[in-house]
Amino acid sequence: MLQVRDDDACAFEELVERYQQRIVSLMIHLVGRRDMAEDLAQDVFLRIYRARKRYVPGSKFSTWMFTIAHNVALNALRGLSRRREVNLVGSESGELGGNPLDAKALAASGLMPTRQLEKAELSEVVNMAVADLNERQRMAVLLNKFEHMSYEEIAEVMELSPAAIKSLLSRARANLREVLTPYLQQGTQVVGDKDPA
Amino acid sequence: MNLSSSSNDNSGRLEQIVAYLDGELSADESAHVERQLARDEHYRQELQGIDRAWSALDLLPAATVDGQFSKTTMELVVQDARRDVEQRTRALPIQRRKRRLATALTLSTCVLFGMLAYRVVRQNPNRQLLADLPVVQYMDPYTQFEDVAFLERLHSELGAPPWAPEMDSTLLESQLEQYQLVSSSDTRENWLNQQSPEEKASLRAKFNRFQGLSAAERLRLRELHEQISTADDDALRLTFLRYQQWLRAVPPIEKYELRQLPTAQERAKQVAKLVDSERRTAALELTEEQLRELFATVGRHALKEVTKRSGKMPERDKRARGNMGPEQVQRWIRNNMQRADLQELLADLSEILPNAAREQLLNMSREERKRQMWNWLRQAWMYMHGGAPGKPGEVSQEQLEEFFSNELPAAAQEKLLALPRDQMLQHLERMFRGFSQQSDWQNHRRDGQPPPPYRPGPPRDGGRRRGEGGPQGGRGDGPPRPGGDRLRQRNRPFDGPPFEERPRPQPE
Repeated sequence: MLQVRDDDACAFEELVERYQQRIVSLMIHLVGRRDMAEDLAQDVFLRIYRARKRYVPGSKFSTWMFTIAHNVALNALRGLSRRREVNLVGSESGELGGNPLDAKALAASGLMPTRQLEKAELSEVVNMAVADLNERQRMAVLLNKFEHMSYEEIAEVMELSPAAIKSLLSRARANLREVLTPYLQQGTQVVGDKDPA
Repeated sequence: MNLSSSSNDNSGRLEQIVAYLDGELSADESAHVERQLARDEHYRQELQGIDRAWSALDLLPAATVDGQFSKTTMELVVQDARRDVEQRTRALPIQRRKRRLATALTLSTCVLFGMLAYRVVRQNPNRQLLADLPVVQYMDPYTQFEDVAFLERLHSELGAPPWAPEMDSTLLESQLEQYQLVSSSDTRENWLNQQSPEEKASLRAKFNRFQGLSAAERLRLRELHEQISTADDDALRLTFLRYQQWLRAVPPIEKYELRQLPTAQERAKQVAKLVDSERRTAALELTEEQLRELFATVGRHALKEVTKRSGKMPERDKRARGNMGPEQVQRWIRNNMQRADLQELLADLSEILPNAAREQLLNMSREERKRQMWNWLRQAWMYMHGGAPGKPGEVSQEQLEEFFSNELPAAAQEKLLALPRDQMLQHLERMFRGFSQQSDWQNHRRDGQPPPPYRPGPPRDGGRRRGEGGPQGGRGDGPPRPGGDRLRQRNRPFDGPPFEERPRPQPE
């Protein structure tokens, strides 16, 4: 990053290649759409380039980068939620309106009691369970689970206290357990298949 | 209440389990959780449920990004950078214009402030004078010594008695008060405003002289004043003020000689020596009445001596007595007085002379004593025939020549010859009339006039004479060197008995 700060274009290209996967994944899980996630990831890298002179050597680069990513995602989600409100007003009259997770739960419960969930299906359920978390819980879960950040680092990225992150994560995990437990009881095998791999 | 408490307990337990799974608990807290897990089945199931749900997140699909992403990202960044450069380039003339404008504004402001400051300073020309007023006011005495060590030495040499002429305690207190007024920044402006225009002009002239000094000398004078004005007690300041008063009566040549002495100790010793000499000179001052009585007494004594030698006054003396001019009478007295018993004469004079003068006379050598007697006789004669001392009298060129040749010591002759002709004649006449240095200077001070540049007095202090001349004095204008016996007699008849009291001439 110090080379990037000194206007080294090659260093910046290397930095993009090194972090693009993680930023795009984060954005996909946050906004749910790949095209939009890639646009947001590019916006993150653009902002990093513009703010390169303000980078303070010694601070952890990933924390600084995910702080920018958090702000970009937050702005996008706010815009998205405004558009979704407009869309929801138009689609509430439909007969299958509501949470798709409920439909999955319905399908997985009494209607097909003996059927085991397939791995792809369970992955979709987990995806939907994560998407069902609120924005802050989702961000904290993703940073904790996939970026292996401590409570303190997450607090710095999200500009909250470590105690607030602790509370946020415990509620997020309780929600995940609540949603996923019915599927996991049926799909133990599926989840268990992953472990030997 | 119970519901809320139960909810809080659950929330706390949940946070504890999650923190345990995330490794965010301390060792003690982790041990506590593990004990709980061992004994509480429900707690254990809850932890397993949370952990299973957390592990299920591994099933989330991982995004893969192709090389196109980084390429388009870099293009985006390059475009952005180009746009940024273009914007900056476009803004460059504006920025330059703004910078030029700011520079011009800054310069204008500086010029404006400079002009204002100049006007403020110009409108108050006394400001700088006021700042240096104490040093300017006392510049002359300050330039006369190097540091306070001189004043301390002078104090130890001369002590507290009023050694400076006319420096009584009232005057000293007044001068000390003025010194403090001038030294204090709170009062000096008021003091300056109270000065007359002439005094202000004099201060301005002094200030110009002060400005003409080198920067180092100005700094030295300021520091010297600071040391004296902030001294703990008044002894240093009083010594300085006495020295200042004494210096006023000192001719420039002597001031110069004092300045040339290398050490403070030598200067202080020289000043003490001069002060002592002046005290002795002052003791020899006689009033007109005392001089007349002295003249009559010495005359009687000379006549007695003549009579004693010859049994009667010689015929030629009797003849001469009727025809002698005043100078001849004096010479006659002097000649006969030299043969007279001086102790007897002094005994006769004891009632006339003040104690101090008598003591001085007794301490003189025989030659000095005769010279002093002759000096008194000449002063008396001037009262009786030539008017009061200090006024133009009938002093002939011959008298002056004889006086110069026969009475003056070589050192005084040298100093006189170093003066321009007019000044030399003036001082020679003054000396002839018998002025003492002390009385002359005091008269000048009383008149508020500066003292004359050179006034040799009667020989004293081992032949040393105070006066001016110095390096700039020339010899070419001096009078012709008088011969040893060129005193021409004046033919004015001596119109009365020389040894009797005569009616005093009325001053003009």
